[in-house]
Amino acid sequence: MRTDLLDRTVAGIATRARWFLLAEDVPDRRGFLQAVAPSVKLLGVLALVTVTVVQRDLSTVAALAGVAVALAVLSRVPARTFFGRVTGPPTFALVVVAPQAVLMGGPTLDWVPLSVAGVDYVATFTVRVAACVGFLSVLLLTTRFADLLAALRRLRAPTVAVSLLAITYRYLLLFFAELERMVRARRGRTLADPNLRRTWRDSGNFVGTFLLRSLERGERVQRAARARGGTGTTPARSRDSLGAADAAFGLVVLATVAGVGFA
Amino acid sequence: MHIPDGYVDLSIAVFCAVLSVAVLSVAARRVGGEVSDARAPLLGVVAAGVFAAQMLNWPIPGGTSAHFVGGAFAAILLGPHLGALCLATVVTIQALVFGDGGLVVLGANVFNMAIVEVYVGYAVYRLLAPYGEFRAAFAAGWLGITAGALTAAVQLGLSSAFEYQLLTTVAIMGVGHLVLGLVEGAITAVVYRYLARARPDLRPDAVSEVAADA
Repeated sequence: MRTDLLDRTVAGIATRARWFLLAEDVPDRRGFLQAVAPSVKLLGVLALVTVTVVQRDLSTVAALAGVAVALAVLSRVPARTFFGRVTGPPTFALVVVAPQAVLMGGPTLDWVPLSVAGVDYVATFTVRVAACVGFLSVLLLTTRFADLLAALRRLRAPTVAVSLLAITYRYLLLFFAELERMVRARRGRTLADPNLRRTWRDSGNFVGTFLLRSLERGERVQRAARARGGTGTTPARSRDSLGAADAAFGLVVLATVAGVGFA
Repeated sequence: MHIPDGYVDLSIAVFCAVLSVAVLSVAARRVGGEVSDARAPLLGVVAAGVFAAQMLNWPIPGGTSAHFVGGAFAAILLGPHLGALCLATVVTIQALVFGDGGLVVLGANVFNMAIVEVYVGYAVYRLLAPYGEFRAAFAAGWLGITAGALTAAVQLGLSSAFEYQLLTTVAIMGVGHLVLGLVEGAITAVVYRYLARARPDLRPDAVSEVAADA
């Protein structure tokens, strides 16, 4: 197996693992959205994203992107973390829709042969994607996954779906660590870069071994769960009463939705 | 193939979400009433394994690399209904933990990657398995991911938010994934070959063979 590919795999796993740790760290900070009940936050962010996806006006989507940034600042989300997450999808969106600046008809700009309508569309599309990613990012960066699951349960999501998500999340870091160990071990055994055919055969055996281990672990966990009489519902921290932060966030969402409606 | 929020019209996103919930509910019933409390751990752990396996880089000619998606593979290994539930869990975790895809468009992403890819992949495998399991696994991976990309292309092409016409999105994504899908097909086939040799009892027809022998 080629060593550069192994390095890339290890780097990919490390990035995912870092994101995991970050997702467990930022929600502990004292900030605006951290104080909001997860169920209220989930519904509020869903409302904000829903309002954003139907917008077709540049100034409106720019204002919504501003709301996402303001929520991140108020929630003390590190700027590097927030913008690191938010810049990727809009950049890709820009590349995808950029040809429309030429393809769309109508009057052109004075200094470049680009359509006015096309440039407006490309800018609106890109900023809209950025605003949506911004809202999703503030939700994910200020909420522990366990709290998100508790919110889903509180919102009457099917129990089995919530259990599946909880179990998968619980084992992800373990499997990342196992995959990383296997990749490092393979790298240690690899003295020279084999040809493409050999690399593919080795990779097939490698992923097959890894998936077999996953399956066997799953079978063990299933037997253990059956012996205990099922997994049961994982206890979740619950908040019975809503506080000032929930009301404030509710007002922000209502004001944003109303503002967009009047715009 | 994860579509972020902002690309697809709200009506299409809602329609796909309703469709996904309906299909996954049927899948949950078809695997024995509901997914039992004791069966959920197997699915959850395998979903985590599939997620982690997607991290491995596979070399492709030209110096670049590709990733395994695993929709058709999960369908062959677990059966289509458990496979769909497994992949739906993976896609949801990707959205709710790592922000891949979006919130409003989650139902559409689940539909493309956990329903279309899994069921089409499984159908292709069952259809071609009598002519060779290795070839059938290759075709399942290849055509499964292409079918998922095509439904994503239809969702994008029908959305007024995305200015490209339906024919354009279908042509670009269809042809693109018809080529890229060859890599997914090849990965599915080599992993399947290893598993079929290491644990022949996991092959989809293993139970019927044992029953026939008895």
